[in-house]
Amino acid sequence: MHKTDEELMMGYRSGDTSCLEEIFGRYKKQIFNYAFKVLTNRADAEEAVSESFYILTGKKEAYKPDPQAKFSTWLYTITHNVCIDLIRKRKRVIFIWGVKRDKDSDCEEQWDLPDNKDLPDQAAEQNDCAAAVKKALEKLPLEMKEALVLREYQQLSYDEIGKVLNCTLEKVKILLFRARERLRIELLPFMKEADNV
Amino acid sequence: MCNNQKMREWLSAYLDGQLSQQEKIEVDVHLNECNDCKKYYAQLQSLRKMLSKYAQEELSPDSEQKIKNDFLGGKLKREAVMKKKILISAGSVALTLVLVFVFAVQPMVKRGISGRLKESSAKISGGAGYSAGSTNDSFTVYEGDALLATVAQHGSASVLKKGGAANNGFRWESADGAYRHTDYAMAAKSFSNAQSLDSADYAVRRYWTSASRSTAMAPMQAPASAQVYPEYSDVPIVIVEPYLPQSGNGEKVIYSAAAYIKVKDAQAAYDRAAQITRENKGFLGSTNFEQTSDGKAVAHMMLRVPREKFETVLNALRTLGDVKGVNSSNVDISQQYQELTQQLDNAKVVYDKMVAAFKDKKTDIEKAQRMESALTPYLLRIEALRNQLAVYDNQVMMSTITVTFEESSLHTFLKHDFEDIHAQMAQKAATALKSLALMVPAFIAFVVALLCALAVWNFLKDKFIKK
Repeated sequence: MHKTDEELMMGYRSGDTSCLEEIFGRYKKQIFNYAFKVLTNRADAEEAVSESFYILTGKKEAYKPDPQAKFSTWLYTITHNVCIDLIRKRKRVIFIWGVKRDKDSDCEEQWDLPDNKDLPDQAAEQNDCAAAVKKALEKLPLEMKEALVLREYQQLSYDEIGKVLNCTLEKVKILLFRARERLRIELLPFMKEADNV
Repeated sequence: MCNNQKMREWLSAYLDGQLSQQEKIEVDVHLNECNDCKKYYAQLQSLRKMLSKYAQEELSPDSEQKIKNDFLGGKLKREAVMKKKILISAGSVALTLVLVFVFAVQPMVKRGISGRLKESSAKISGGAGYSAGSTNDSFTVYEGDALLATVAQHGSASVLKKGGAANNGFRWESADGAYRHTDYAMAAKSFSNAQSLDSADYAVRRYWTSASRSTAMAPMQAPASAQVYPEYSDVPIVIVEPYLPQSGNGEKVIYSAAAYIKVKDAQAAYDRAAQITRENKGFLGSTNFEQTSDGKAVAHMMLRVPREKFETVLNALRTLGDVKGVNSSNVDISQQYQELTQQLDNAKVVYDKMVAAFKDKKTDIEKAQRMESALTPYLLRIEALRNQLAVYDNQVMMSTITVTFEESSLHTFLKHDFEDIHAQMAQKAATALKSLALMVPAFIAFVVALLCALAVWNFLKDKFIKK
C-alpha cells in the first residue's frame, strides 16, 4: 500500500525508522540534484543531503501535516537553508585561505554527460552544450539559480518555490524571468531549433 | 524585435503554465501576431530542453550509504565527530596560543621585567652612589683619561680617573698627612700609592676652602696605607682608606645648619626636637614659639649639639616632617685660630718680657702707674685673644642647628592629599597601560589563534572527518 509523504513522516514520528528510509529513498535524488545544482560541488551536495535529512530527524516532532503545504516543500526549505549555510561556510573558508576551494582540481566536479560514443561529433557538441549550461547556471545569482532549479529540475509550482525561498509569487515570476533571460543570452549559440522558427 | 517587457515576463510564466486564463488568451493572440515573441518563446522552450537534458545526477551507492548512516546512524556519531572537532580546535587554539605566547608575549614580559630590574638596579646604584659619599670610608682613584664619576659631594669618597680635567679631584698633602678637596682637576700620571701622590705631577689649580663649599668634606688624615690591585693591569687602582674627620684635633671647623620643616603639629615637633637634642648630649640655645595670623604655630629653635652628633641630630630632625630646606655650612677657622694662638703667644711673650723688665724695680707711684698703663693693653689683648679662642673652641666643639617648625596649612595638606591621589592615579594608569600593552597582543594572538583554529577545523573536517 502506497503511503503519502505526510503519512510516512507521521509514521517516522511515531518511531518507525523504515518510514524515514522510505522518505530518503523517494527524495534522495531530488534533494541531491537540487543541492548539486545550487552548490555546484558533489561533496558539498552530499553533505547538504546528509545535513538536510539529519535536520529532518531533529525536527520530526515539530512537523505538522498541512494541507496547504506539501511535505516536499518543507524538505526543500530545509535543504535551501542548509545550502545557504554551506555557501556561507565556504565563503568563510575563502576568506581565511584567500582562495576559492571549488577552483581546486580535487573539488571540480563534472556533470554526468550522456554517453554517445557512437556519435562522436554529436557527443562533443553535447558536451560543449552541457559545459555551457553548467557555466551559465553557475553565473546566476543564488536566488535566481535556486528558483530556476526548483522550477526546471524539481518541477515545483510558483507557489511552492515562493514558500521554499520565502518570497512572494510575483518575485518568483521575476526571478524566473530574469534567470531565463540571462541563460537565453548565454546559450543563444546553442539554440539551433529556435533559429528555425 | 518586440521589446514588450511585460509580454516577455508573461511568456516565461506561460511556459510554466502559471498564467491566468485571461493572460493566457492575450499571450496566444500576441504570439499569433508577433514573430519576435514567437521566436523568443521558441528560445525559452529550447532552453528548457537544453536544461532538461542534463537534469538528473545520481548519488553513488557509497555516498548514499554514508549519508544514510549519517542520519540514521544517529546523533551519537555526530556528537562523537563534534567532540573530535572541538578537541582538534581546542588543541589548535591551545597550541597556537602557546606558540604566540612563547614567541610574542614572553619576550615582552621579559623586556618588562628586565626594564623593571634595570630601573630597580639604577635606583639601588643611584642610592648607593649617593650614600657612599657619607657612609663609605674609602674612595677609589682610577688612572686613565677622564673622571668617570664622583661621589665626593659628601666628602668621604670619590672615584677619580687620572689625567682628565674634572672637578672634585683631590690633592694630597703628604707633609702634614692630610688631603684636601680641590675645585679643579688634576693631571696625575701615577697613583702608585698614597704616599707618592704629592710627588706625582698633577697640578692643583686652587685649594679648596671650606668656606666655598656648603656640604663638602672635612679635612682628613692621610691614609695609613694604600693598596694597589694588580688585576687591572692597565688601570692600577689605588684604594685609599681615610680616617673619619676629627674635628677639633688640630683642625678647627665650625659646623652649622639651618632647617625649615613643615610639620602637622609644631608643638609635638618642638618637643621631639628637644628630646633628640638632649639624647645626643646637646642643649637648646634659644627657642621661640609663635602663632601666625592665619593660626599656624611656628617654632624656632637653636640647638647646640656636639660636633660628632651633628649629622645624627640633623638626620633625626629630617624625620619630623616635610623638609622644605636645609642649609648646612662648615667654616674652617684653623688659620684664624692658629693666628690667634700665635698672637696670644706673642702677646704673652711681650707681656712677660715687660713684666720681667718691671719686676723688682723700685719706682715711685707715678712711674708705677705709667708702667701698669703700658702693660694694660697687652693684658687686655691677651684676654681678648683668650676669649676669642674660647669662643672658637666652643663653636668647634658644639655645632649649631637652627630649625624652624611650621605647621602646614589645611590647603597644603589638601594639596598634598591631591598630589598623593594624582600620584596613585598615575600609578594605576601606568599599571593599566602595562596591562593593556600585554592584553592587546594577547587579544590579537587570540583572534589569530581563533582564525587558525577555524581554518584547521575546516581543513580537517573537509579532508578527514567528512570522508
